[in-house]
Amino acid sequence: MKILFTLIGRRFEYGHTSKKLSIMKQEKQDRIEQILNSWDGAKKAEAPAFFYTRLKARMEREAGEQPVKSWLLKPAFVIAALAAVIVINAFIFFQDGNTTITTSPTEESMQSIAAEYNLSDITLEEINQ
Amino acid sequence: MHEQELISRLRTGDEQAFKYLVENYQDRVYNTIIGIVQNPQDAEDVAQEVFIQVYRSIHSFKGESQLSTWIYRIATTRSLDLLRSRKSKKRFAFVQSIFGKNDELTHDPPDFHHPGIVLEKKEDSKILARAISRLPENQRIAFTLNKLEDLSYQQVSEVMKTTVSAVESLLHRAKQNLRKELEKEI
Repeated sequence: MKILFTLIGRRFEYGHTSKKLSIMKQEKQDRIEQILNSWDGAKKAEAPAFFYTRLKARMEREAGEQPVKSWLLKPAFVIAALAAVIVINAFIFFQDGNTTITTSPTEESMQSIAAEYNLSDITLEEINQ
Repeated sequence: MHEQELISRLRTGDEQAFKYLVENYQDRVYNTIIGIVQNPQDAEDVAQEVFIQVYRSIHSFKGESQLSTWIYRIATTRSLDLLRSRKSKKRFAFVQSIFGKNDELTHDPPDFHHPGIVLEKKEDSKILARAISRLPENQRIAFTLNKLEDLSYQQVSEVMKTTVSAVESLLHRAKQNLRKELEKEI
């Protein structure tokens, strides 16, 4: 009997909670609709006073100015140019790097060093040995 | 002044005709732009750019649509250009901050309150504006033109160069996305 009462009680509690939840959900939906409709019936915004005067002044000012190549200053162009410079630099660097690594000092280059420092042939041979 | 006469006079560079055009369209253009860019100063700048473009390119206007549709199209395109430039500036500022050249990141504009909305709805309007700013471009344009400018689906479709059913679908998706965003907010 006690178990039966407990079950009925729980069932009642569950029903009460779910009803409460559904009311809360409905209230939330109503609030969303209220916000969504807050622009309904809005008056139209008016352009600021003396709009035409300021527009004419701007047109006259722009007519007197030299046309500037504004695309040169755009971030996209600046970043692309920077990237191109970095890529070219990296390419040249690795090309040089490969040359240095793969080329061993040759006889020719040793002779040119010897000539530069006035070293005789004997000394050079000694070095080679 | 009749639209055809206005266009012809604008093509001859008639200053009075231009003044007439600006005075007739400035509020519509400003109202559309402020809804999209959500900042009064930027909205005025963009509105000026719209009229400068109209003045300079009136010769290329073929008259296939109404003059107002063409002007709305320029206004929405220019507004989107500004939003994109804001985004790229923000990215550039972030890159600069990595290299320590710029300590200040470009921040998002503060909460926007549309000037035409009554005071009681001010807070709700700010929440809605925040959610709108997260919408994809097309949905944002369709929603703003329909809600703030009261343009019909037909007119919105002409401005956006699309079909009425596409506009219906855009607005449906815009509302769904806004509901999702608002659910997170409240």
